[in-house]
Amino acid sequence: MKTSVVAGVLFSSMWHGYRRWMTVFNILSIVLSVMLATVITAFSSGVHRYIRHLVRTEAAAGAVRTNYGDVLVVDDKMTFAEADLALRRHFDATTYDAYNLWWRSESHQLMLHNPLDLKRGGIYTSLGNTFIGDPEAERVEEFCAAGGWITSDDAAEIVLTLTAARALLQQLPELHDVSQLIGRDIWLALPGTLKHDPAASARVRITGVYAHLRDSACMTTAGTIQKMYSRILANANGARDHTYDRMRYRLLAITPLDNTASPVQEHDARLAGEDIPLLCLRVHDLTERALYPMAALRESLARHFPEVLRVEVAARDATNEGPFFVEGRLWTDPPGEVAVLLDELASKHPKGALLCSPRLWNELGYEAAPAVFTDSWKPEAHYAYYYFSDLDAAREGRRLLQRWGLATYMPIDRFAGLIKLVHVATISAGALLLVILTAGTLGIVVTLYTEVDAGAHDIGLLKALGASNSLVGVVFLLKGALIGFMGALLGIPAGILLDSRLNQRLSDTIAEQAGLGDTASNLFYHDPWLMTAIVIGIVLLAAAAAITPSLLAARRDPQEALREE
Amino acid sequence: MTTKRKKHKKHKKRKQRIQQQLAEQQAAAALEDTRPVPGRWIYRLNKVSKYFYNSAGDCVAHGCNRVSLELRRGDFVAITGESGSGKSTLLSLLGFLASPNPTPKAGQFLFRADTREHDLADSLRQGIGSSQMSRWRADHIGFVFQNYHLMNHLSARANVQLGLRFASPGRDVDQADAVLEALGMGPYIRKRTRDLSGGQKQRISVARALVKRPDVLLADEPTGNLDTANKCLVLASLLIAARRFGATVILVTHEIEHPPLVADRMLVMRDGAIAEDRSFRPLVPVVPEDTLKSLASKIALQGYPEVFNDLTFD
Repeated sequence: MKTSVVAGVLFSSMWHGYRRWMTVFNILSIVLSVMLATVITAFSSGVHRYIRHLVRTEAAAGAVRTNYGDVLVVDDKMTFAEADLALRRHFDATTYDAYNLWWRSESHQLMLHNPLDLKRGGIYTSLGNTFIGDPEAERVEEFCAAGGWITSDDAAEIVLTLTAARALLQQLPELHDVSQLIGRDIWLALPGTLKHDPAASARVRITGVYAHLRDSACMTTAGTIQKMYSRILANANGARDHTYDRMRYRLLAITPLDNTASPVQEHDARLAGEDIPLLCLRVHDLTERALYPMAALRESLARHFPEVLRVEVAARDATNEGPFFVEGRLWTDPPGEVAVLLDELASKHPKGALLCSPRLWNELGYEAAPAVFTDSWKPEAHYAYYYFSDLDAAREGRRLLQRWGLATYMPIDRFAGLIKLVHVATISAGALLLVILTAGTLGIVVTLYTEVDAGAHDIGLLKALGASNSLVGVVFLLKGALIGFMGALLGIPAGILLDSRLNQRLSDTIAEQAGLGDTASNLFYHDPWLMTAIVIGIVLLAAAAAITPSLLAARRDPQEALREE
Repeated sequence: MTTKRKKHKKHKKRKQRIQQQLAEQQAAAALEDTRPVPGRWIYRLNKVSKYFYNSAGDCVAHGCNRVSLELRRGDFVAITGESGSGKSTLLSLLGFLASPNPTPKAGQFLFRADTREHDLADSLRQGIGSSQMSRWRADHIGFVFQNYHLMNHLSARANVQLGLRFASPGRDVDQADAVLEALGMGPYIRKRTRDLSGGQKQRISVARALVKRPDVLLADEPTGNLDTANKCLVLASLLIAARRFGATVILVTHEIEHPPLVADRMLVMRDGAIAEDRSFRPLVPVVPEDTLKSLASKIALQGYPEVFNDLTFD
């Protein structure tokens, strides 16, 4: 209440002559700053949203690969949005973000992932490996089958329903001892079963081979696993030398029987040398030409490890040209799955998902298995796909990879020109904003100094009448904040108005610049939180500008101030 | 839920009532305590100094040099002296506008407000001076300045009300109009003070000081710019404040004829020290006695407690 009295008296006395215009000027400069800040932030976030939108739609149309997790595409002719919608309609939750998907849905771990060759129009649906027993997965499967959709290299997993698995088990009585795995790992228990989907044969020639090592005396420690792994590889490639030390057992895919442990716990357990009952070794991305060595691998496994129940090799389409791909995936929490974690990235980016990096692949020692990686495979030109939950995580991950001297590609690179344009525009507008903001802030300082000086008499009188020093100081602080608030209050709508104008002018140009057909998008996005942040920031800045003048006013000696008339 | 809320409400009400009663009791006690007792000391200064220093830290002036002084309630003290003799410094010390040197050597600066005694010098030494001083100014001190020091863009009423705004609660803002009317400013209540004459401004200034019912009324050459009639009125108001309401009035003046007329004590300052300290009965009221009495009754009508009933000057 006393504050309002002092504020009323001082503000009304300040509202005279040139001092009034100084305040108006202050407010106007703040309005200008806020307006500019609004435009800049809205433009920056709007364009990035726009690009994100383009990346997703284009990815769905098969034009580019995406980093936004695995893309789910369920039909050649279906767009991403349609596919998403269709799946959403039928299942509780699906999303293109595989990472989120894995974590989110425990009941129906539906994962649809990007095939390696979207450009050829080969679009695949793949279900996660552990969901055979999941009724939801069965529904997915039926859904896919009813739609006549193509299934991918994991076809074996998909097509095999629980019923089918049971039937198979009955036909194969020697698998009786693992029948308790039904519902979870049924596919693991099918030695040598290769599921070939005739519908997909034109595009995919796959044999799935999984190594499923049953726990036994030889498999109880991490060291044994390591040893065994090297033996497998050594036997497969014709006894070529390999460095034993470079084997990293942590890169092995471990499938514990007890599914309660998370991959991270599992990993720790392995590091601690605890017993791990089951090992699932999975070799990815081998072309048709690699089938022979893989067959040899299987044989060697069978010869050396009677415990091995089954070896499956997932091989890639041989018709695909181009470099060798190492497909990486993050298998996270779903029980019984494979976990291949890159510690560094995982620790830095719990959000980011890195499956297998070329560096680690090196560490794994692929030179040690030249039979698998033949000359024509261009092992020096290997790629790795990393799927991240969001763009920021992907960027962070990319930085890390670049630090390792690796070339990277992201779908967003396609929009590098546009992004650069936005950057330049943002930076130049930001510089202007900085100038205006500085001028505005200094203006507040100058105005308040003037007011403290010119209003010395009033300050002195108020103090003589009993206003305390802090009260007078607070009033000047309030005045600064008020100027900021008024500026923000006027500046935000002005900025939004300006944005709508600019959008009309810019959207065509930008689309042209980026070489995009899509012009419908709004280039400006007003994030309410960001707008609030601008208002709060400006008010705080203005109040900060008022600090020294208010200290001056607070410390003003009333006796001296009263002498000034 | 509802019963709980009701209960809570009931409890709250009772709490409020108790608090109100307590507040009333305290207010009554405070009134009892603050009722000025004539002759009781209100200031006790013992070797109080106020030196002025330049930026290099050298002492450039002795505003007050080891001043010892005791002032009582109801005193009407006139302070005279040459320019630069330290009158204004003493006045600002007494009005808590300035603080004595907070050095360990500073003497005692006792102020008896309410029932307690405060040692300003001591609290300054402890570094708690400024806010306490502003509180005392708000609650106990009224100022009348030579240059009026009004807020020129405010109305007369607003200016007078401003005198009450910072004081502790419990004072009636509506008294502003009554005091203004008593001082003959009735027609100008709504006028902006910048449009008024000097005499009118000073009357507003006096009203602003009086409306607070201050324990101490400090007047720094209040009649310097005024015509005779207004001088009379201002001096009469100060007299009424002292004689009727028990305020300690301290009048700094150059006009050597005034002190003997109204004051009962005169201090002559020289070089920051009190050179003479004389007490006497005031000679002649500057104002005709009946005018004074009628003015006093007018102001008194506005509900001021009359502590003294002594307006005679024989």
